[in-house]
Amino acid sequence: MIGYAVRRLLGAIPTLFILLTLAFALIRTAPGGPFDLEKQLPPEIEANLQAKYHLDEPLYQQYGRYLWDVARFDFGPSFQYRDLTVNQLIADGFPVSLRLGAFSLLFALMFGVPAGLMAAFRQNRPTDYGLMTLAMLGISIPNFVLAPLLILLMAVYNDWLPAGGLGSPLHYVIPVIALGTAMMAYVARLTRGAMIEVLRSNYVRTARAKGLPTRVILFRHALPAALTPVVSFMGPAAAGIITGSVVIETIFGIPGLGRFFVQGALNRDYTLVMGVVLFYGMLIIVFNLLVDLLYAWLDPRVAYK
Amino acid sequence: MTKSGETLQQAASESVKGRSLWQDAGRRLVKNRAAVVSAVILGLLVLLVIFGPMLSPHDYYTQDYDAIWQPPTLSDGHLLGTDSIGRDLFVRTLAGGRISLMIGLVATLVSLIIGVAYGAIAGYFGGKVDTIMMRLVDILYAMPFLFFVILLMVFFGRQIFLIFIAIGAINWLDMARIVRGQTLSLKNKEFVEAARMAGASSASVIRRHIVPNLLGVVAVYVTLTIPQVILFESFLSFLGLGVQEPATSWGSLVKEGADEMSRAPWLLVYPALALAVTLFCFNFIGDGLRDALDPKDR
Repeated sequence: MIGYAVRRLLGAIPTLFILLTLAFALIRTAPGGPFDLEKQLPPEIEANLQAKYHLDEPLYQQYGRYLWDVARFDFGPSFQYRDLTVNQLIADGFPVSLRLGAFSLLFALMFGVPAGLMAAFRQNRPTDYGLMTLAMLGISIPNFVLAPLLILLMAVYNDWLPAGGLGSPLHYVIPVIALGTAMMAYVARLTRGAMIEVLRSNYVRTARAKGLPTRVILFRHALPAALTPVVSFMGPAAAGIITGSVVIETIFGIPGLGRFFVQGALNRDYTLVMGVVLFYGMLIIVFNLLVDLLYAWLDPRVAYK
Repeated sequence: MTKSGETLQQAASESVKGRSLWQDAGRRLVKNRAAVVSAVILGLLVLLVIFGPMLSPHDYYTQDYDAIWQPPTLSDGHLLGTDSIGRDLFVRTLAGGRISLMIGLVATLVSLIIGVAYGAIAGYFGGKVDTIMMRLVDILYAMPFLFFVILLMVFFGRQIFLIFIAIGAINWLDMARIVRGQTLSLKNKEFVEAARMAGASSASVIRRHIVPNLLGVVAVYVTLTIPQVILFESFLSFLGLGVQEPATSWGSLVKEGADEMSRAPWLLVYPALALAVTLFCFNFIGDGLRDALDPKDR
């Protein structure tokens, strides 16, 4: 298992390499540069700046330098936030994004799984139809639509919750709902589908035939098997949270990584953008690995060697 | 009792006729009320988006300075009110819908063509070709494409053409995987074997058995891809990276509405509603189609 994990991580290196190369090529072939301000800089100052950030070197040399830095987990200085390195910015922004993402994931599981189970137990009855219509609604309303609507309802018309920033736990409520709802809906649908299938399976019939109480059958035997698709959904879900947080953080003015990325792209902050892209790439790879390991632990038929 | 007796008689009097896979699926789909209602709503919406602007005395870019920030009203033709510079929201929502729906269709078509060709080739040839082609897909899968698209939009300007390419280029990955998997498993299915044993030629096996089975999955996937693409375009437009003024899409309208929501909530509510209803309908139709084409899950 440890061998498997190590091999997976090593296998991710080419992927990251391609990612870095693509991002580097895209950013450097783009017109415009980080120091194109409204006010034209005097040529000497611009030359100094270029030299300081090695932008005057030939591209392949810059590429080699960047590759070497990244190999040592040094993403370089930010062009826009002059006093900070990209590492510092990521260290500042990531915990904020992580907290938001983790709460959203928790929210999705806490409500999605029970809703899915309830729908499965009442399959093809009004409860089922109602819950699944709600779930479809949750999938269909984009988070950037849900967020302003929630603000309108809960912060503008009624003064129940704060609309932006991150001052107190209450500030998290609207962003977490906006970010977690679509995922909650997916989780509910997955749980329902899997539970229906499991309830029809032979081993559940056997458990019933032995006369086990329904509660034991449902929660001891059926539930763990029904949750495996939900676990494997966590990989795509994490990616979804990351992209979702870009827009949610922009809407709510939350100082997380997603907002850094959008601002970095708009300001042509090369190193910040590259750093965030690479960091997200690594994050997704590690998270997918964790999900696969968890999956193997839950489902003994899956074995990684 | 008499009723079922009549149908029995009727059935007996008619000659026995086989039903094709698609007829079967069609019957199941029509029975799915949610899917049918969604299809009707979507059809009406498409008609409205195409012909609606002609019915209104206003157009989507003219600024009506006598009617700034006007709430929805029936009196002067601004059915859904106006925005901060007096443009008619009803017509703007429909014009935005044209762009959103067009991007949804075209980008899905792009991903459909690339994905089916790629997946079918990989699945059909199998072996080394398959391994290499799918390894490439795996690598591309790990790319945070959203970020690339954002970068593309920022650096190379906001051209609709680029949005098509970018979105199409992302979505073909899923399509390729699905088509490949289907082709692989269909090649070795018992019913294909049975057809062969019954003396069907390869050509007719492919036409009668493999392609229809592939088409079902592809049709479901297309119906589910269109809302994803619309969503993605709206997401870009919301961030200010999509369609540019004075042209508009549902995403940019939602963005404008979100910025002014305490002053003019209608600017947020109606475009958001249009977007959500469209996505909702597409998802329901896709779901219904999947259930109809895959009866073993029922």
